[in-house]
Amino acid sequence: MSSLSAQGLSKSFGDLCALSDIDFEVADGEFFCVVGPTNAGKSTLLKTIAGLHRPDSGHIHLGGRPVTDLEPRARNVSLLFQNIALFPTQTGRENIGFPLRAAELPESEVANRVEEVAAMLKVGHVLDRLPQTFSGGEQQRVAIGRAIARPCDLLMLDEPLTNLDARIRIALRIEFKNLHRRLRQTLIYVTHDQVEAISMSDRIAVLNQGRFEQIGTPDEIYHRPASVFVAQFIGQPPMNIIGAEIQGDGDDTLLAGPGFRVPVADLETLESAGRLPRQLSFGLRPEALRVAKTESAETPFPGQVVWVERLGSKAVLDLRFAEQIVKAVVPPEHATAAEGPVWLGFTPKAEHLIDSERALFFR
Amino acid sequence: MTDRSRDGLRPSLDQPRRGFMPRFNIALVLPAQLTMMAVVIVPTLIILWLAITDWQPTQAIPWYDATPVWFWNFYDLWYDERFVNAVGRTLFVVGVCVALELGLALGLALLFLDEWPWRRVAVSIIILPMMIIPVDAANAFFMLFNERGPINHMISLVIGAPFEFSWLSHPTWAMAPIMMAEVWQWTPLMFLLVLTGLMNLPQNQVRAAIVLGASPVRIFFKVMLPLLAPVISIALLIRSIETFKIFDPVYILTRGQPGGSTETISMFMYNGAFVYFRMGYIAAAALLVLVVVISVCLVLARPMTKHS
Repeated sequence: MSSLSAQGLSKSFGDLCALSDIDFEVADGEFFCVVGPTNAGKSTLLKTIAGLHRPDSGHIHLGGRPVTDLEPRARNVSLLFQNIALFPTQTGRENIGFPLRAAELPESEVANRVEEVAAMLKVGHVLDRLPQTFSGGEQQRVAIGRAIARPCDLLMLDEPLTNLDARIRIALRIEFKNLHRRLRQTLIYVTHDQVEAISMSDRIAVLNQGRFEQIGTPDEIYHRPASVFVAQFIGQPPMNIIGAEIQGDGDDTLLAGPGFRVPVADLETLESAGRLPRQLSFGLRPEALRVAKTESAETPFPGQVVWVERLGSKAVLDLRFAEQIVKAVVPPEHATAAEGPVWLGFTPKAEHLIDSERALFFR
Repeated sequence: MTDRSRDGLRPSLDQPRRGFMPRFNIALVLPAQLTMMAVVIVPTLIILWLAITDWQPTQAIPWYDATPVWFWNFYDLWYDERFVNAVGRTLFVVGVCVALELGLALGLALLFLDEWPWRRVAVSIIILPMMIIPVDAANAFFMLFNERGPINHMISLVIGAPFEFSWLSHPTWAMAPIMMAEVWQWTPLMFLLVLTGLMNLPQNQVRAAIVLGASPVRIFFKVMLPLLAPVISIALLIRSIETFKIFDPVYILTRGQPGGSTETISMFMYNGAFVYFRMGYIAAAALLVLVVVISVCLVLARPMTKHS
């Protein structure tokens, strides 16, 4: 049974269309990530599921129960806002206890549960203080505690790590994963950070301009992106998109462009293999680009390194190739990690051929 | 504790640049100082002097030549039932009026928090009483509560029998129209203050409370009201000070009559100073009232320092 199912959700604010025709399901106990750029409609989606916004059309079911017309407090969901929103006039204890008291649990039970949650999140020491005295990480933990204190069918987290510095962010990322493992809580996690999405979730949905571009496992999203948007949003540096022309047919099909002619790997696996247009483009992950100092069968095409960005464990090369700048990732000590002429090689994959007109990958 | 640590900072703030451009500094503060002298310090000194005399303008003695009676004025005031009653009555009026105004204002402000058609127009209508000159508003209430006025007429329509009650000459009930006039005229100010406060509440905390499953009543009392406390305490402070000075409705509706039963502090002082011309005695009363007002203000202003 799926914990959440949404069908045909649409929501607009005046002329601004925030969500259009959203369909998706989240399985029981799943860690589901919604990732997308700013203003993609991520927060609107969560608020609609929580009941703060009424969808213009569409239905929401939680645990099989229709909730589209229910008040937020009748939905048994919990939502942690991006900006934390702890109650400044209440202590940590009162903040975490708030949803429990709202559910009118007996005081003794509230006290026990607050202690339990505080111990789990390691915030026992701030319980009797006001939020203004908390550090950023403590605020975040207390807010998480408040969101998970009352057991709920669906926990939603809206960019919970955005306002924190990198060190706390990584620590909390691990904690979220642990928390999810321990509670087996169905979870929707919204972020604009693709690294967070890929590292934590069971499945990812990529949201752009109020539409889902793709829903899939992190592997699928990374290796078989559905659209150019997904390909460039997921992965750092983003996927290179290179224009090309199909030459030959059958087993002799070649991709040709300015300065290169290469065969396509596993073209027969593509359903639309026989119907490819002559002009198209293809995607190339920066780490799939072979770079060498010398010409060889593996690296037959000349290019030029114009910029090297050293990132410690790796170096990102900006290469002038095929009349554009493409990016490649190499180890930092690699011989090509310096400006100058180099030789390139690559083997485009069938699933990375792009319909340039629709900005979608051929399937 | 926080106060003490703040005090610890003070010397370091004061120390530097003691003699820095003294003339320029003096020139900058001189206008303000002179104004203070003219409107606060000099009158206060005159009051301090008059308060220990029995000066009456009708005695044809200049005020500076008045005979000192030292602290007898204060002694007399302590045993002056009319004065003590006036103080008590004024505090009662302040308490009841301000509480009513706050209750009404909170209710109205919650109503106006949501967007609905004609909301702006309705706001301007609601704040209209505030724009009316207090004397005119008081006159309107004098007309309304007249023995043969519209209020009595409406009551008789409702109960279906002739109703004639002289509100303004009844020792117990005469205060009611006065307080009603005050509440009617000044609830709008309270409403504006509270509405501004409510509209500026962090929406996310209210939303957070909603998704955490809180009922509207709980959200109001546990989330919104505590956040609104600084605004409310300022509104209470402003209205308490203003109501303490209540004069126009009392003067127009009853002049403190019947038998001093509606005499508030300002009415008492008006009668004493400008009807009986007992300037020295009333100066002493004014000093006492100042002490009362300052204490009330300090009590009401306390939550503000706590929140900052």
